[in-house]
Amino acid sequence: MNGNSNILLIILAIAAVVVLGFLALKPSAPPATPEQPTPVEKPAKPEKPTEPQKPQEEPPAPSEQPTTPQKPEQPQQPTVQPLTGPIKNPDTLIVADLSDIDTLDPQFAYDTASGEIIFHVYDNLIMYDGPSTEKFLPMLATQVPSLENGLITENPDGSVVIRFPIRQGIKFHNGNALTAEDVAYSFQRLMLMDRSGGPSWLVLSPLLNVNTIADMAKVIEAERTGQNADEIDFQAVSPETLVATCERVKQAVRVNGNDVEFSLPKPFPPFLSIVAQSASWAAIIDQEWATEQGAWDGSCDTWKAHYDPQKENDPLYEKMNGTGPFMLERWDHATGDISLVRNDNYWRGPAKLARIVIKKVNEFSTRKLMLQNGDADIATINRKFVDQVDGTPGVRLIKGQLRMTLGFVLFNQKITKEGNPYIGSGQLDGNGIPPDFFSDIDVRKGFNYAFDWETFIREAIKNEAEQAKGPIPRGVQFFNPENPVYHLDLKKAEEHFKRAWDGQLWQKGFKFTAPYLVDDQASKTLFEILKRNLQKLNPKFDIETVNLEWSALLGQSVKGTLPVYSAGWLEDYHDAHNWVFPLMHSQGTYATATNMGTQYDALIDRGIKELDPTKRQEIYYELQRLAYEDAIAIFTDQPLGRHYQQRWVDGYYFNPIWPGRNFYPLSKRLDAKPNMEYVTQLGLVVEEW
Amino acid sequence: MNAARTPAALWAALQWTIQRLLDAVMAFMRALWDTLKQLLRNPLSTIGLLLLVFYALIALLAPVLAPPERPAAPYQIPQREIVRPFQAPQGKDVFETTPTPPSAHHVLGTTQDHYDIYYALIWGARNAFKLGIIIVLSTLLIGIVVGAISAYFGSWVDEILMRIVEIFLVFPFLLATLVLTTILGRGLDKIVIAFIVFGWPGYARFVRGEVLHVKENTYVEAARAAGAGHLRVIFRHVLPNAIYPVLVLASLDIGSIVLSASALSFLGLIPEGFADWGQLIGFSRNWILGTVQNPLEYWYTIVYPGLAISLFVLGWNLLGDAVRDIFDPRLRGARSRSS
Amino acid sequence: MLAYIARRLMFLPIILFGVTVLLFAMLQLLDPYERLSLYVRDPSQLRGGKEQLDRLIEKYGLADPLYLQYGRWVSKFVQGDFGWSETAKTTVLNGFLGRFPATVELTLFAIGPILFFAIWLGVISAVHHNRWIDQLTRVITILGYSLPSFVLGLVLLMAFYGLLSRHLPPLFSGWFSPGRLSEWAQQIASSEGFHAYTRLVTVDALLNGQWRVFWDAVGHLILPVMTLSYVNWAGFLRIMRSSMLETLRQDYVTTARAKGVEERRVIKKHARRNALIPIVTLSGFLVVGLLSGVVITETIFGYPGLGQWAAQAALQLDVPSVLGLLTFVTILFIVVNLIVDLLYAVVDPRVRLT
Repeated sequence: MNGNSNILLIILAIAAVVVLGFLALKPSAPPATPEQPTPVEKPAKPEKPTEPQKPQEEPPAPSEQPTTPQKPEQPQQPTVQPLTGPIKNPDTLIVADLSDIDTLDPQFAYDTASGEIIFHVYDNLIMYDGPSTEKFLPMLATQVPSLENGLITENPDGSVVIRFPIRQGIKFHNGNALTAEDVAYSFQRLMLMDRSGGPSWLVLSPLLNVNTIADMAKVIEAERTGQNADEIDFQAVSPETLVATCERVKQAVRVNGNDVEFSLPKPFPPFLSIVAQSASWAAIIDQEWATEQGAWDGSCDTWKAHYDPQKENDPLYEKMNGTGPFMLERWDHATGDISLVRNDNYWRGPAKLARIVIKKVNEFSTRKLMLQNGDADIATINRKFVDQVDGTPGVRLIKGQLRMTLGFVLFNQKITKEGNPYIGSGQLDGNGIPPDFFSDIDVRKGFNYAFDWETFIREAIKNEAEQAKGPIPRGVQFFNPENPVYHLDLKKAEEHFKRAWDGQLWQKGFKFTAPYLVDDQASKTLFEILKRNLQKLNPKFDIETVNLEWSALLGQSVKGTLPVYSAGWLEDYHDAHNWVFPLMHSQGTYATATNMGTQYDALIDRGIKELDPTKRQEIYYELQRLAYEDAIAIFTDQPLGRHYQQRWVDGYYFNPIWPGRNFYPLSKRLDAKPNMEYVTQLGLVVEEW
Repeated sequence: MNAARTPAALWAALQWTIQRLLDAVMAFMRALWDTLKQLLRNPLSTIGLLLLVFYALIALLAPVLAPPERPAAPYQIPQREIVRPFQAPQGKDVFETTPTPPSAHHVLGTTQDHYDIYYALIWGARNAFKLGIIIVLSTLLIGIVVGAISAYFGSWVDEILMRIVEIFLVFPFLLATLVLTTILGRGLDKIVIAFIVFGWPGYARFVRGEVLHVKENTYVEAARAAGAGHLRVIFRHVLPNAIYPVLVLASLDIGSIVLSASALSFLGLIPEGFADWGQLIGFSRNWILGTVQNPLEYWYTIVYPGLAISLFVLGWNLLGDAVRDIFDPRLRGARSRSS
Repeated sequence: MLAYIARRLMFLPIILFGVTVLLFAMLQLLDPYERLSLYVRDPSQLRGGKEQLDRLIEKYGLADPLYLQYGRWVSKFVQGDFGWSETAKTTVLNGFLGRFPATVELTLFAIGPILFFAIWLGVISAVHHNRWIDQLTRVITILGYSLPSFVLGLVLLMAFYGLLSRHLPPLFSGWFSPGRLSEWAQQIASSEGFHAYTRLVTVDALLNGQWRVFWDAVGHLILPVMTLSYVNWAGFLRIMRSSMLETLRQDYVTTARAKGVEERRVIKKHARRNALIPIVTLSGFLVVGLLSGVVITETIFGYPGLGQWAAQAALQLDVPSVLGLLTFVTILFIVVNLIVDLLYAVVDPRVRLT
């Protein structure tokens, strides 16, 4: 029989598979004694991370304690093995990340992942001083404009001129020299391109007092023809108007010798932070090169052709030519990986690393293993999975980094009733809520008193957040550390709920659905905590949670059907205005969506026109107080970030205003040490294994 | 006419009808019994049957094996401190993200976000049966109607219907259901709808073949010659004779349907915390590499759900393999899987 | 023959039309703001309020009636412009060309084991019909058929990547890791000295004489290929077995045996060759099935191919990408069908194409 040998083969093969299988799974059987994440070694330096730090700006935040609760119990053992062995890829820094880069065109980009790349390839006029969130240093400009040095001048009519003297002798990557014209061109292109959903409004509104360039054109067309500006179709305006629009833009950003002058019709204090490094839209590009690539040539006759381009028609979508420390090497669309190489002629001195590779690795497990094997020097680790990574030999963790984001729950004060599945019966009958449910201040206060920050921050965020103190986060100028905050107090909550809706609410109860974005576990936990406390108060109070696809959540939020929003805000530019406006101004993103009304508008408008810091402080303190008094939202948390890297990465520090990490100061060496000056100054915690 | 109104005649008519019905049921049961007997002769299909009976018992007894926290929403996996078999979940809600190993409080451990694995497996079995049966019955119904009409009328009706069927079949099944479920918004009901929308054409084509086969038979010709209407011919004569193999075949698809559906929930198209095996495996994805000290630290997050779904599908396939042998060669390769 | 091919190809536009209209019709279940979620990808991009959202809707024509949107797509399609893929961050065509070779490579590597095991084991179990070896083969294949690819894939990852790879000599570093190439190999493969002849990394590495890159690529392929082939060979084995059983009963086999031809020869020369006919038919569909069926496998192993992209595009409702992929699958489906028919006519003289 011919089969005999075959049969033997099969049996052998099967036996091999079975044995292999057992071998592979064997260790899985016994771990009835699962070793809890083995004792985590202590920080190498016995620095006192949470002891009253000596911050120049802010007094210590009392709610910072939770960041280090597990510390004291563990024996102090500062015995971390010194690094030996070869450094993998000594000249290349590999980052395992998971975000999508949207575009490489600075004037198109409006997201942090793109911003991180642009940050390294292009330069801005000025930059932040290291980790400082307040102090500027000159960059492509030779001086930081201020009233004292005369580069900012206030005219009698209230308009302001800001002058930037441009540094000479700087070359773009392709060898072209940087000129003042390039700077002006970059800003003009930003304003005239005005891609929808893009960043152009940030510069348009202080310089031209409009939100879109189309609005500007409509106003000019209306002036010329006498029509009503609202009725004009931008696509149909006359060529003369287009030229006039462009002329106005060019008036707003002018070249004057070696200087570039910005004319603002009225004072706008945060203007410097709108153009400082980390603002990708204000990065400086080379006019000559851009024109060669097919971008706008700087002429007032042609700009319309480059207005609001689709990505496929944007010539700078995947090309870069800046003055920055790194040059674009490759952007691989199949994998999403991007690599940058060192610019040896960088005017601040070449970077220490020859190449940066940012790999897009969606799967957490892979990022983790890359870090573990030394294949990644820096990895993004979701907070959810930190237990799996802590204790990895050769890895350093820096935690407690303040992030410029806030989480909050907003109350929709005028919910859309039509086709709304989230408000039950739509009436105050115990089976739903009326559309104006949250317009009652006692309801909002009741919700605030029923929320348990401590549990939320402990369980949902693993203690790595601070309770938010209002609409302005810590680290932003005019943040009031003494602003009153709510805390869990069921007695007070009961008081307010009993008073709400003339006492009817307490009798009848309410029920509504709180939608949250899929995979947003923190928001889910948040609503569950709220629900648990509300039901303790009164069994007739009920919140259901439902997770929605992003598309559905977006659609519903535009329709205004969401009773509550669990949302966060990431600042566009570093100023208190960018926080109070979206949250409290009747035209701000969130305030519009929650129909908050116009009661704060006057105060907010006054704050942004004021140049005197003490007066501004008064205004913003008042706004923070009002946010508390009126309980406009539940301000949940300001997160503290983590940074995981190999111990051989040297020179790391972080500024929360940056769109991402800064690779310029980094190097890889065996004797790398954490940057202690930075760590102690900001009260961070370093752990290494 | 009058005579028919007398009680005796009515009684006779009723008796006749009941007799017919009983006959039909008996015939079906006999066929089923014959198949079953054949199946029990083979050890493999016996194992398959036993597995399925086991799962069916679990599914039926789910409320006893794992009493739900809220009877109104039994499929929501509890995240409580204590979830023991035969007891309602107790203790406070826990929002711990890291899985915890099997213990007295959680016999099979908890997965990500403190969802109890034991509870999820028990209710997952019920969910799998529910899902499989609903999808099979609905797709089959549509498939039978379309297939029968197409085959019986032939010519342009057939041509148009079969073109439509072809369009649906060209759509890659997984991609199609993925898109449709995403559009409808995640949820089990949405997955069911997507599976029905893209599942019927396969059956329609198969039923059409069977009907064409039966249509050739002389008794159908005879019925038509005797002046019976279209519907009557289709439903009285053609379908009953074509339907048995179709039914058997379709019911065996439950295994592969559950498999494909769990692929969707693996990709995250089901509400979080819904007792579905695929979702549990999706959760385990982030934990398979364990901790630095013990790479198999979180083994229970994948092993238990993986076993549950594999054995379930195995049961159906063991059975299906044997049944297809009995019905061979007509049933050969009627459906192939897409994941 | 030519007329037959022409007629079959005539169906292509009809089916293409049907498939794409179906997709567009499904999308109408969403309102314009929901469809906007492709361009405004997460809450942090929700800036500038409703005004900016409305501008975006107008820019992409999302509020236009179905026929207008479809017409726009068709008119671009006819000019060879498949649109822009937000998920691939490039044009649909480029996104496709960038990923297609990866999937082809994976598929090619998977087909080998599938056919080999199916034919080999199929013949054995038919020859030893109903004996224990037959039963054993059946158990193995049914097991394979029952293991969901996402379970098998994860378990393999756990065993090989999580556990085994840390005990392997450095020679195998990077083996079993997800993706297509290790970073260092990627560096070489994308350098200028490396000529991409076929864009299949394994083949290119050989042609460039880069053995280390070749082994790295093979190491990355092992786990996905194992997963794909194990869950797919069952169907083939079944068919091979029945077909073999059938041929073994044929007269000519009996005649050959009666003539005293050696059994081994009977099986190899006479029976097996004829039993292969249905396998030929099906391997055509295998190509189609694998190409659209790698979705889960590629997702698990982070393999940058069409399947992973398809899943991403579908989950984010990236219509242009899904349309592009559908068009491709449809064309492939019909062409493969055609080729299989033609092959059939060649293999089996009784079949006439009219």
